[in-house]
Amino acid sequence: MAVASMPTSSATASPRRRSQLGMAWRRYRRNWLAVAGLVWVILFLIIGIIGPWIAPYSYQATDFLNANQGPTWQHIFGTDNLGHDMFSEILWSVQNALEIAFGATLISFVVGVILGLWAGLKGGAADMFVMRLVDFMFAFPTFFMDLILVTKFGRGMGPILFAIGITGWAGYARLIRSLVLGMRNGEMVEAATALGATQWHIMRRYLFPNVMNSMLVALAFGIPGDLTVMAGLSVVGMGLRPPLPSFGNMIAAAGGNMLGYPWLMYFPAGIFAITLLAFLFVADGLQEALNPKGGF
Amino acid sequence: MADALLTVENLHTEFTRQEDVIYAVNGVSFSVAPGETLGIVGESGSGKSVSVLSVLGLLRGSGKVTQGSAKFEGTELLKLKRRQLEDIRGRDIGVIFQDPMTSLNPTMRIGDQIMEGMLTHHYASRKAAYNRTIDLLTEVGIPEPTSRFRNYPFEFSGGMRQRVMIAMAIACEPQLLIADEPTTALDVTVQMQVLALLQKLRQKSRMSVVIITHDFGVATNFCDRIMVMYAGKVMESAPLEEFLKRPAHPYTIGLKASIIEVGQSNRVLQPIPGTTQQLTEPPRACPFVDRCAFAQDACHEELPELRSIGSDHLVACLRAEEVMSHAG
Amino acid sequence: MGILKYLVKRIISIIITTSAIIAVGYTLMNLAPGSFFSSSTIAAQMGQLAVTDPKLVQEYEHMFEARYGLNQPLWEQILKYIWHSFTFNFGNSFENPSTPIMTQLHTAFPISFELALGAVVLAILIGIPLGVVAALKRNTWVDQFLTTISLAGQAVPAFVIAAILVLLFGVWWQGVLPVNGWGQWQDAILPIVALGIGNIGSITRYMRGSLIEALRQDHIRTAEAKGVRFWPIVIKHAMRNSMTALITVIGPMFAFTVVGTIWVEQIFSIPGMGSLMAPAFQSDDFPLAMSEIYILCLLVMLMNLVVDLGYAFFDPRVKLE
Repeated sequence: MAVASMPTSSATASPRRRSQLGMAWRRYRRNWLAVAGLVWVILFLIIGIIGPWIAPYSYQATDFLNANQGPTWQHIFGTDNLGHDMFSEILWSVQNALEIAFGATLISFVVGVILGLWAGLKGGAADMFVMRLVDFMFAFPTFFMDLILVTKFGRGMGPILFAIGITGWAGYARLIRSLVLGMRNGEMVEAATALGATQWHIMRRYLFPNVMNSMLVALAFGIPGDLTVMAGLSVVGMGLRPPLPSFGNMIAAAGGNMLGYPWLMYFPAGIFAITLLAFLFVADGLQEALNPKGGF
Repeated sequence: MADALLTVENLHTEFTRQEDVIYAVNGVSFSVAPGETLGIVGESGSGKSVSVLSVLGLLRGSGKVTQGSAKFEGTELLKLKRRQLEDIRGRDIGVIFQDPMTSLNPTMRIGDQIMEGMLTHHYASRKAAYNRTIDLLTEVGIPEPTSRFRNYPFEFSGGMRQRVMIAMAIACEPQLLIADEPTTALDVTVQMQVLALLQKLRQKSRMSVVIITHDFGVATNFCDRIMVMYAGKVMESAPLEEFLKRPAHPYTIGLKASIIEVGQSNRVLQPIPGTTQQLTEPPRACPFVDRCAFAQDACHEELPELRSIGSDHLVACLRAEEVMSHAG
Repeated sequence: MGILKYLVKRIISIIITTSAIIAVGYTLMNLAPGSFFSSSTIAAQMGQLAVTDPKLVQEYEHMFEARYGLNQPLWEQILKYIWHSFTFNFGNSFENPSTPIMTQLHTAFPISFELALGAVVLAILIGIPLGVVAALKRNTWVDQFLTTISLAGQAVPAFVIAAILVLLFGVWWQGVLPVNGWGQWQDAILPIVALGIGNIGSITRYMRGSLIEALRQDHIRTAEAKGVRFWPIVIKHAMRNSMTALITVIGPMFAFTVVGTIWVEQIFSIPGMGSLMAPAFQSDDFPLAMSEIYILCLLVMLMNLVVDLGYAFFDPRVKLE
């Protein structure tokens, strides 16, 4: 019996070497919904910063003589039952939404990263503890915990941000932990170690880029989720305490007399929905661009 | 050859990967006579599996046949409708794949998987198919076939799964059995058992066999005829004896020199220098030229045709005669 | 592991989790600023008292605390609450001192359960075929269209969809379907659709992804090599494998839908769990709020258990652990 030893082929011969980021951007650009989403998100960010300055009225300004009016030149999105200018309310809401979206998501992210890293790197009892905690957070809808926390700490900006942030970390923790475990035991790292790469080099060249991509995608998906929870709190009357404006508050208020004053629903709900879509399309585009799967 | 069971002529197959086109098979021709065993040998990426799977319409992903003909018992396979091709697959042509770990459906009882082909082709009634499945399991050497019938693939070892694959492939008594690297994923001892089983089945049924392998030893031990492929082209094709005695292609000689043979411990192994590459444009010169010790200027400019240099001996090399005398 | 042992283990874990939720929730809510007693509703009820004599108010407070056991140490209250929650004895709410909470939930719970279950079933019935179509037509405009619509459905929360439906059927297609209240079966249609659209999106996308993945498996090629026809391959080989994975999505989806029910009931004025929960939180009626959360969390956990059992049943490789 003879055994042949064949030279193995190297199947990856790329003609042009493009940078990782450049290729990701090329893939992202091809998805026009993701690009449109990005444009809207950037617009949203700009309005979040300058909104209060360009708003024609204060969010607290009431005009009882012109209450419950449909869109006019003076109030292009109409007014609510207290005579608030809906256009101004929306401009202010953007800022609040952004504060919650980025603040709460950041808290979740930081807590998740710390716990996930701890569990993944330390292993043993730490891992057990964190995973039990993650299981607990996944066992029931965290929205209920948000409700309890908001009841406890009040309906201000800070408490809501904290409540949504502190209940949303479980997904990030689980993701980070699995990434760390997968990387640590992965063949790529093993091979790099065998070739004499330093720990730092491995971290920088292999662990970090891979973890970053997945985390970025998870974060991008987290933002619309947190915006939804924030508005959801308003729907059950536990959102940002009026007169602070928020999309949730406007939608909840409009729900009371939707058939009488439908414009109170059109604009906030429409803009809110488009914003969520924009964030989600961006997240989806990022996922496709950063983790391209399959060779089709 | 008019009496051949399967005749493939000038087959071209391409894959598209993002913006690139990969030329996997570039004008392959071969034929299999009834009862004959053909070994297709080549490195991974040489297009040996693709050329056979193209013919059966079993390419995955973006693979597409662009040119050529493949006649099975006179029927042009490449022009058949999907439904007609399905009638031939499994009934007239059986296939064994490389990796028995992934090639069986994990959520289906193995007995049902063996029966499925027979029921699809109305080869047997449900009861007869069941009985035949039990017989097949016994034949391929699986003990306690009646209880094993109800097991799932994860309850079998790799060698046992490959036996199940074989039982599946021969269930409808095909005229042609295609074995795509049937032993590559198995342990060496199990490889031998599976090869012995294939040998036994072949002798018993007189079916034709195409065995695709990168293992030169498997091919020389098993086949009537050997065809060497490189870069999607046929380099050399000859009956076993002729092939072993008078190799005429530098690549074939390189392959033979890189074999470790039992009892030859003091012989120096000679690997072929260089590596294979995926072709992103069709070959215009001899694809082996960069790794060839016999290369001349002409080899860089001309694509050598497959030509006859003896009884049934085909080779695609401009300097075949010199190579042959040099090696002899 | 035996199924019985597995069940016992899971039920113990459910008991521990629910107890922990009660302990955390009870502690936080009991210490919440602005207790029910000082909230506007009760102040209005006893308006005259408050005006006439602060001493009387204090007396009333003490009476109230004694009646609900709020003068006991917190840990004792919590333990008692957990103990009684096993028998679904939640006492009376602050708002309705004469009616046991269980009586209120008895009418509200089936409504919410019906909506949530309806939304999940609707999503399965519509999402699976859509996902199959998208997978089989992958990378065509049909696929593009379906995945984009699904993503949009997932992004827009149920309360916004509910609002859109109310506008559509309340203004433009008035009278086609009821947009308000609860009583006849037609009342359930729009809420279930509002809740279901997001789920349809999830199932479509999930089904598409897992079916494409399943069709890429080596064993699909084996089936093709046997000559098995196209649809049997899709249904018997590919879908069977992707369906078992789909079951794991339905658990979390149910949790998500239960929350959605709370929102949608607000928009459609449906007397379900949400219609009780919103005012309970707004007025710090925490016995009612707590028992609602307890019941809904328990429901979610039981549904997850059912889903996991189903998963083990459908996939022979899965060992319960």
